[in-house]
Amino acid sequence: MNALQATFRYELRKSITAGRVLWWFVLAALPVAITLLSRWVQNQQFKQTLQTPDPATLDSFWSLLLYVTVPCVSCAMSALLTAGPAVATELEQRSWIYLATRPHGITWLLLGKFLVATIWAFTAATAGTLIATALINAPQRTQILSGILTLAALSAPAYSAVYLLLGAIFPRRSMVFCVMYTGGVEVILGSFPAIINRITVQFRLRSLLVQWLPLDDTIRNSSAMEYAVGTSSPTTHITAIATLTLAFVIAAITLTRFREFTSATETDL
Amino acid sequence: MTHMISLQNVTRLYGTVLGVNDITLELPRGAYGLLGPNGAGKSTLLNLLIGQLKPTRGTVKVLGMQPRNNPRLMQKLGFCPSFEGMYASVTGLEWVSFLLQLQGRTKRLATARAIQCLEQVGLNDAMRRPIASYSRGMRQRTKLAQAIAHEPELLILDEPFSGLDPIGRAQMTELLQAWIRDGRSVLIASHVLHEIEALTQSFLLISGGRLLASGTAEEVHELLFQVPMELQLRCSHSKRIAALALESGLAESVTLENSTQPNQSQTDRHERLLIRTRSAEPLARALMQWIQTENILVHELRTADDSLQSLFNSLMKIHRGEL
Repeated sequence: MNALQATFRYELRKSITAGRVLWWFVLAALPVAITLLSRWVQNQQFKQTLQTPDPATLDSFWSLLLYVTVPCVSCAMSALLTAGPAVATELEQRSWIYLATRPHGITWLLLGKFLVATIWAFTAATAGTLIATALINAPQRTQILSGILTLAALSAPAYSAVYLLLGAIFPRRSMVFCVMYTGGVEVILGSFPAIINRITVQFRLRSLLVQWLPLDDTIRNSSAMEYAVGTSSPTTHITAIATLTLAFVIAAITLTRFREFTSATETDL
Repeated sequence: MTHMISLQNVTRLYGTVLGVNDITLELPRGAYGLLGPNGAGKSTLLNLLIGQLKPTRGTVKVLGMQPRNNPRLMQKLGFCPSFEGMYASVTGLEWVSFLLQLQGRTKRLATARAIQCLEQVGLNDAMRRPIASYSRGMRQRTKLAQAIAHEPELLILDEPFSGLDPIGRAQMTELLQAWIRDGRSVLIASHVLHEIEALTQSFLLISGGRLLASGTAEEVHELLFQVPMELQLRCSHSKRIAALALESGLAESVTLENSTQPNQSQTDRHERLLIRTRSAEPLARALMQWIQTENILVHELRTADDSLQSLFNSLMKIHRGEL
């Protein structure tokens, strides 16, 4: 545990760079910017029609908007930026060997990087959600805030684990594969109306969104939702996300134990 | 007592390229130099020893244990790679302390020990500065500090002197000498013999992925004299020396090269004599005698290749049965 704490502290300290902090602000600002833009559009529509939107519609609208911008985009993007190149940076920097020659060094390294990626993603999501929910005009603002924050708390570690594994499988083109995975699996496969979508993080998050956030019944009962979300209890979905997260982290660690990553250049043979 | 290193028919292939070729070796605990030219297979062998590579064939044991994914061995092993690979933004103290915490020490103990080690390698003032501000020598010493900080039973060093200035080399040599005097084991890989001669008298010679020879420094020098060698001589009576060398039977062949460059000095205009020999030591002694007795003025005398490369090339040829 001491080694994990040390790795976490060290990786966190190392990750605090100007570039990374800038990205944190960008990802935290994303839901705020979209919220502000939406409010402006709403105000323009109100000026034209002089009609106040239905409170239930407002709750649904803001719930969906914050769901897309926070747990889906902000968390996933932040996790991608931090966890995706976790193995690649150590190999490129050639610091891998120092950790690989310590007892369980690589395991601690990956766990430390996973925790750091989760922290970066979750804090950006939290900051963005807190500011954005203060700007929305939804009657059930508190429920939206707590719901989005809980989803972000599940999304941040889940995506960090996914990208950590992808980074371990494809250390040379980790970011490319992470983006491909996000588009191909999480977005396309996750929306596919078949059993296969249950293996994605998106499916579980979407199922929890429907159960936790104040969505309009027309959306909740729409035919699109029938296939896109699961009807199981929240506990089932939370367990599924936790299991996926754990499985991805274990898979990443196991893979790095069996793969050979040497820092020797070809001429060093 | 278990051997420090035990290799049984170890072969490592990279696709179709041989990294290490059928090495069998048992080394008792002690200090050893692993000598070989660039591309000889030293790094592959070291990577096999520290468990970063799996042998394609054969078994590797270090301190009686197989090294791959073995945390128990990693407690007893210190490794200093040839490349840097340290994070520029952290301080030397943070880095060594972090690596010590991975060895299981608490933060307080790790910091105290890291300070002690960094002082030992002479980084008293620099340890709290970011590694980015370190010179090449300081980085090398930081690397050594992380390798010795957890007091390993076996220290494996890959080119520890590379990039060090003469003062740095002397300091590093002193430090390693003290380490060896304490009775600890060390394996130092290098492609320069004299760098590690001051540290150990036991050498392993590796080239082309094969273990070609092993022995003491004297034996290595003996080998150097036994292998075919080319001497270059520029003197006042080249033809006379050539004749004496051939008459004595010490030279395999002699070649006289005429200098025809128009703007050469008087000295450079002397013919260059190339003597190829299998008996470098007796020839060198005879040459000294001829120079004295024949009153010959020598402008230049050197071996065509004074590095270990010629020895390795010759050993490889002997190994293949070509010599």
